Amino acid sequence: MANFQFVIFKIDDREFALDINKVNTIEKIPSITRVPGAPYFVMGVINLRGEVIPVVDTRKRMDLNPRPFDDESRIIIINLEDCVVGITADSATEVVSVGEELIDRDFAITGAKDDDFIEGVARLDQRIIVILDINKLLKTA
Amino acid sequence: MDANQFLDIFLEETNEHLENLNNCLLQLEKSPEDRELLDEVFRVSHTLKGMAGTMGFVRMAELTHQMENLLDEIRNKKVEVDTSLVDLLFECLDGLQEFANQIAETGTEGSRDTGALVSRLRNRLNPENSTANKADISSGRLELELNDHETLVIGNAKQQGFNCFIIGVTLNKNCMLKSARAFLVFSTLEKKGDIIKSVPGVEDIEDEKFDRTIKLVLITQKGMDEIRNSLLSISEIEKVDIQEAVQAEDIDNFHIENRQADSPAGAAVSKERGIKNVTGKTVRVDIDRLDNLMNLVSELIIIKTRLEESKENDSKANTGEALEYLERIITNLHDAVMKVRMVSIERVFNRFPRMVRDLSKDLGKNTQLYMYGEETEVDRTVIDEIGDPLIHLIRNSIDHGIEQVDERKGKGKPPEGKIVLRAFHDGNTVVIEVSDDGRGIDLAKIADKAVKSGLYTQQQVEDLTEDELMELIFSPGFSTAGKVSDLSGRGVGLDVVKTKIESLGGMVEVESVPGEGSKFIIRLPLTLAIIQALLVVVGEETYAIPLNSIKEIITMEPSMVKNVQSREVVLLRGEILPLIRLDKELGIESIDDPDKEMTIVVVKKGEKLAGMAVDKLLGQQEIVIKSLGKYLAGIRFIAGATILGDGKVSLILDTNPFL
Repeated sequence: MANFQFVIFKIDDREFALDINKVNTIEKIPSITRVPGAPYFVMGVINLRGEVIPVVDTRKRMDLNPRPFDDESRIIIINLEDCVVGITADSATEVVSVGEELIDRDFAITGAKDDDFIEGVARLDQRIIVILDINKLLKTA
Repeated sequence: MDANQFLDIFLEETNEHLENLNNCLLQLEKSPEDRELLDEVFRVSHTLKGMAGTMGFVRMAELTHQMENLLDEIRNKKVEVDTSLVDLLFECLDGLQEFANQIAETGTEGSRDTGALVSRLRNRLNPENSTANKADISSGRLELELNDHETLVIGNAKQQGFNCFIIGVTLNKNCMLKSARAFLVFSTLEKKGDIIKSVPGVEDIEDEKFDRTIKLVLITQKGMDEIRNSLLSISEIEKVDIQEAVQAEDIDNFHIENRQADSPAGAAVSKERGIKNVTGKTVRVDIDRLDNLMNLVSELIIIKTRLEESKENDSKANTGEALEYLERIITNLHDAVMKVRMVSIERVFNRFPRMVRDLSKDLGKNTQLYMYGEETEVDRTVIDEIGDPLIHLIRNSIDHGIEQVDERKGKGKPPEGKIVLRAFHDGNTVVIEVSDDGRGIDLAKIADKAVKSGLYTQQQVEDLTEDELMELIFSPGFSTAGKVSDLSGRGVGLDVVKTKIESLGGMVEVESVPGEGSKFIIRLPLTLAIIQALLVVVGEETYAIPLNSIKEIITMEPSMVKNVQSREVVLLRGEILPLIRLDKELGIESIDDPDKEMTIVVVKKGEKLAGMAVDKLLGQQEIVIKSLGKYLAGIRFIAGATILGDGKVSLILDTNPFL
C-alpha cells in the first residue's frame, strides 16, 4: 500500500492536510501588502526572500470568521504548476504519513461551506483530517 | 562522445559565424573583387564545417563543405562572383540557419533535405561535368562502415588526387601494451597522411577496449607500399592489410539510404527530448566586466568584516564610515551588474541589411540601408523585444515610403532610396530612429481614410491638428496603402508597433514631410528591470509611481477642486485636469484632513494628463521591478511590485488605466 505524506495545519480546531510535495516552506507571518483589485480572499503580497508572493486568506476563502494572527499563525508556501502562492493557517504543526487505505476520496460533507475544496478525508486514530484540493482552493475565477 | 554539453557553445558560435557570414556576403555582393572578404567567407564556412563535423551534424557539415569547395574555386578565380552566386550562397546561409534553429529546438539537425542545394553547389563548381564527382566508397574485403560525411571526404580527397586506403592492422597475440602499440600505429600514419576514421574509436583504444585488430581509413599522398613498410617496422605487429577504398554506388543513392537509416533514430531522439528548447538563454559577458564584479564582491566581504569589527568595538564613527563605503560599493555593484546585462543593439540591427536587400529585390526597388550607433548598449530584455517592431517599421518604409525608381527619378531624387537606422542614448533612454527619404505621409490621405472608415466625421477630421492626424496611423485597422501587399498595408502594423513599444515602457512618434520622407522615433527605457520611481503614501499604504509617467507635482487648496459633469477636475495653468483620488480608486481610507492642502501628482500618457491626489510624498528612488506572478496577473492599476529598504512590498501603480 502506498503511503502519502501530508502537512497538517489547523484552522480553529479543524485539521487540514496538504500533499507535502506541493508545500514549499512554512513561514511566520511577515508584513503583508494589500493588493487593491485582487480577489476578495487574497490578503495581499509578501516578500519571501526577495520574491513577491501572493497570500490567500484561508479563513475568508472558506467563509469562516476572521481571527487575528498570533504567534502560532503561519503562512504555508505552496508550489503550483506555474506559480507560488501562500495560504494562511492558525498553526501548522506536523507532517503525517497516511496509508492509502485510510483515505476516503468519495467523502463529502453535504451542506458544509468548505466542501468545494475537499479532495478526501483521512482517518487517523481518533482524528478526522480533511485533505484539501489546493487547486480548487486557490482558483481565482 | 556525448556532445550535449557542448551544444550551447556550438549554437552560440554557429549563430555568431552565421551573422558574420551574412555581413560578409552582403558586402561581397557590393564588392565582388574584395579578396579579404572572400577569405573571410571561406574561413567562416570552414570553421562551420569543422564545428558541425565535430558535433556530428553530418548534413550541415556536408553543406558547408560544398560551400567551401565553391568558395575555394572563387578564390582561385575559376568561378566568377555574380548576383546569382551570392543568391546561392545566401540560400546556403538560410539552410545553415535552419539547421541551427532545428538543433536549438530539438538537439538534432533534423531531416531537412539539402540535397538539392548541395547538388546546385556542385553544378556551379563543375558545370560541364556535374556527374564526375559522384564518388562513393564501399569497403570491400575489409568491412568498415562509413557515414556519409566520411564518404564525402574520401570522395573529395580522391578528386584532388589523394590516395584513400582502408588499413587493417593486427597486433601480435602476445602484445602487452596494446594501446601503446596502437598509439605508434596512429602516430606513424599521421606522419604520412590524415586518419579520418578508426574502428574501434580512439577513446576505446586508449582504454584498451579492443581485440587485436584496428581498422583505419587514411587519406595520403604516399603509395600503398610505403605505408605498409612503415607500419611493419613497428614491433609486435602481426599483419597489415591495405586496400584502396573503391568507388561504388552513386553518391545520391547512398545518401538516400543513409538518410532512411538515420531518421528513425533521429525521431526517437527528438521525441525523448520533448518539444522544449534544448538550450537556455545566455549572455556573453566581457571578462573585464566579470572581473569588476568579482572585485566589488570581494570589497563587500571586506566591508562586512569591518562592520563586524566595529560592532565589537562599538565605535560609531567607524560604523558610519563603513556604511558610507558600503553604499558606494553597492552603487558600483549595481552599475556593474547592469552592465553585464547590457548587450549592444548590433545583435538586433544585424539582420536588417539582409532583410532590406531581399525586400527591395522583391519589390523591384533600389534601397540602401544605413545604420548608425550599432554599438549602443541596451538591456537584454529590451533587445529581445525590440526586433519585431523594428522589422515592421523598416518594412513599412520600404513598402510604403520608398518610391519605385522611375517615380524617384521623376521627382528629381536619387534613384537609390535611403533608409537610415540610428540608435543612441539620450539620458536614461535609448532612442532608435527609422527614417526614409521616400514619399512621406500624406495627411490628406489619412484624413480621407479616417472619414471613410467611419472613425471620424468630416467635421471632426477638419478640427484635428496635424499631430493628431499623424497619430491616427497608429490606430488599429488603419492603413493608407492603396492596396494590401504581402508585406504591409493590412493595417495591423503600426498599432502593433505602438502597443509593443508601450508595453516596454517606451513611446513611438512619427515625423514626416510629404515628398521628403518620414521618420519614426522610438524611445525606450534603458532597462526594464530597474526604474526610477516616486514613492507616495496613500492612507497607510506606500505606492511607487514610475517617474517616466510623471509630468510634475503640484500642491493645491481643496477649494480649487471643481466639478465638471459630476467629475472632479482641477485647473493647471489654464488646462483642465481630471482629478483622481487615489484613496477612493484603491479602496483606501485616507487619514488625511480633508481641508489640508492637497498634493497632486500630475501623470501623463502621451498628451493626456491627469492629477492624482496623494497624502504624502516619500521621495524618488530606484526600484527593482518584481512581477506579481501569474496568480495575480491582470490586476488593473498595478504594474508590479517592488521591495523597499525595510523589506516590505510596495506596489507599482500603472497610471495608464486612469488616463
